[in-house]
Amino acid sequence: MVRSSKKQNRIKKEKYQSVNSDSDNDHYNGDFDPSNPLAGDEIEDFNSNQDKILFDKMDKKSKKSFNYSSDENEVLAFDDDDDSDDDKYDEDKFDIDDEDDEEDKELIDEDDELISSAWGSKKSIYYSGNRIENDEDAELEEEEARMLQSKMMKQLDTNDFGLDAFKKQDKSLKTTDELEAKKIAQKALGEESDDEMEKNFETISKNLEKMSTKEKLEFLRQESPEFLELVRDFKEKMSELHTTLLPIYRLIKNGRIPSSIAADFIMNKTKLYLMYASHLSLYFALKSQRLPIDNHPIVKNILQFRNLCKQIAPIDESLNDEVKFLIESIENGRQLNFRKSKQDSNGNRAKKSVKFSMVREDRNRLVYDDDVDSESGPEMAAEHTEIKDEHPNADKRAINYEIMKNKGLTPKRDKMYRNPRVRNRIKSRKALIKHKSIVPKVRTQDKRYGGEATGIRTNVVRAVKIK
Amino acid sequence: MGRPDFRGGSRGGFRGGRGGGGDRGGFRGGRGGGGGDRGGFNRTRGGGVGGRGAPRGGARGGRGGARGGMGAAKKVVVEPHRHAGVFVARSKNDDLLLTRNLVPGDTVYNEKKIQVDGENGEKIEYRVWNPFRSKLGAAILGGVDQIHIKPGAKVLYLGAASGTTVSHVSDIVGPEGLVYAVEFSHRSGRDLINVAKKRTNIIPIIEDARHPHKYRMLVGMVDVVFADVAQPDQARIVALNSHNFLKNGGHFVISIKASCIDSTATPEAVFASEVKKLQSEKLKPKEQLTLEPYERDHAVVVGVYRPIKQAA
Repeated sequence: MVRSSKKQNRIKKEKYQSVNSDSDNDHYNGDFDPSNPLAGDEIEDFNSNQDKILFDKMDKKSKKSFNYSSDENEVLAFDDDDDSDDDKYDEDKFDIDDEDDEEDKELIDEDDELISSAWGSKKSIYYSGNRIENDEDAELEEEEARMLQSKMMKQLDTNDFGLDAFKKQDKSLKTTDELEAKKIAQKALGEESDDEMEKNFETISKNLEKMSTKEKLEFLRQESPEFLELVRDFKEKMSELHTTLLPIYRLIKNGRIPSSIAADFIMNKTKLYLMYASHLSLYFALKSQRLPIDNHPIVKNILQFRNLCKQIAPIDESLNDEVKFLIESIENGRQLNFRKSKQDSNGNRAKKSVKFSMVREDRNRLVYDDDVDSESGPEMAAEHTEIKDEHPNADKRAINYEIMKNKGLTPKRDKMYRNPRVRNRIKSRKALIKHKSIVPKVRTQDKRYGGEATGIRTNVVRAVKIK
Repeated sequence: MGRPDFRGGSRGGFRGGRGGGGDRGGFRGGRGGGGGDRGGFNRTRGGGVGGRGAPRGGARGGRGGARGGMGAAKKVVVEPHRHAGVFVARSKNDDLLLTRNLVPGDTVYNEKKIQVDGENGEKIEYRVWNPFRSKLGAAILGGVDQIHIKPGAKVLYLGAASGTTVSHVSDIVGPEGLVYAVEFSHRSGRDLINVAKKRTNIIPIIEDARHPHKYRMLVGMVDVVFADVAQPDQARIVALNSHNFLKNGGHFVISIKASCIDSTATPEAVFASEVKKLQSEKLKPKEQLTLEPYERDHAVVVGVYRPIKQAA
């Protein structure tokens, strides 16, 4: 069976080859008749056949890199079943090529001269050919290099520099509404501004001057949607700083308000707002100069500050009444009287005893007492932790080792018990040592008996009593 | 009551019989060769222990300073053991088990001797007891509670072999005591008889211990039966001899070699089974002791025969 199948294979192969050669020949003859006047010659036939075989091989090697426009190659690229079909295809192909040529002949010419097409894609072409034998060669090479460089420079677009890449991405994500806004912006900047970034800031500013305020706003909104929000936030924070925080801050600094948790909170909040405001002002400064800030670290910082502001919001609300009261009293120039609040636990606010107290829930009663009594110390600390626990936004603690291992109430075991085999081995070794001390190893008398080296204990009875 | 008389008589008779018996005469001929051996033995002893110098000046009370027999004088202190008739020599490096030599100047198996000045200026000679050659010595060193062999005691020694241990037992019991040494093998019996020649308190009996009636005329009532016969029916042999010769409330000391009784069972099981057998024969074992590190899988069982009731 095997032999027969092999034979069949062989026959098949032969047939295939014969068919191939036949068809190729036919094709070859048919195609090259007009271009080749010596087609009828047998020797020429043979030679061209050889050529064809070589071409075939090359084609197989690099079908894509080799781009022969001759009809011979085209024919070889296809099946040889139908000659008429191939002819048709060739004609079509030529037609298409002609059209292309008409459209951008120059471009194609340039492409031919471009580095890749002119030099090839192989690595060996670029390397180890650096032998300049005479001046003429050197000049030629220099000229070539210069030309190549200029070409490369031409190929580079202005889009290759700067942040345009990011912008393009943004644009792709925008909705139809934003597209409309973009159109307006384009109008403002001049229609060509989007594609070519040769326009520098001066021209933009000129264009901006031309725009109406509404258009400007629209453009701004389109360009950086967060800007207005940030401005609003900045104003808010600054006003709060001016009206409430800074006066209290000063009082605390002067020591007129004794230190307490609430005071600390106010201090920290003031610092936070100041930092936030300073960051925002830097952001605005950058924006005003139209510098790219997308990757600037300040953006990240601003985000963090915003988050922090959000986190302290609930505490802020709870302290609102006390702060208001403080501000009022400051404005009225009243004397602030911080009493020892032990006697004054009811806290008569009208009598200017400031008691920072708030009731969120019954169990979370926070007493921000001004006096730092030894008794109130731990209590306050406890309350403070409770606040922390309540924070929904506080960072979650990582689970500890115990939780991670999830061993439950398993007692601590010796390492020995992990492997029963090893445990038995150790047990046996220990038992042997013990046994040795009880039952001494039998020794033989090697030399003449010289006595008991370990001594004789006459009073020791080692015998076992039998009942 | 007649027994002591008989024994005294028998002793003389024994000696006489030995000289006169035709069978014994043949035996005696063999002994002549042993006598030649003995001469050699003496020479060896002279070479080995001949370095004995002058007695040491500093004798301390009862103990007295003693010298080792080897070469230069060694500082040795001899003190009595817990068991009467047994002594211990303490030196810087080694301690030695000793018995007081009944026949000064004589050795039995080329053992070392230690000479000490006595209270009255006389020399006291001790012989070193090698536990590797004696089960009883090994038992004493191992810490047996009681050996019951003491000065003046009458001992029936079954399995006396060449008489090495027998000589030490005869040292212990002293001139007042008696040792009936039973050995079946003629070859080792020859050596035993040679020992008995020097030591008058040893009565050698070359007989099978399984047949005590064969030597019942020689042996009187004894205080202790010592058995080192290494036979599978050891318990029976001991029982038979005890029934014949051991007095009520007398003691027995048996050395059991486990591999000789049952080589397949564990030594502990063999010892236990032997103890059971003894108990069924009115022999009451009191204590047991293995003989490591001197012997492998050996045990010494010490007990009492027909114990006398305390109340009565």
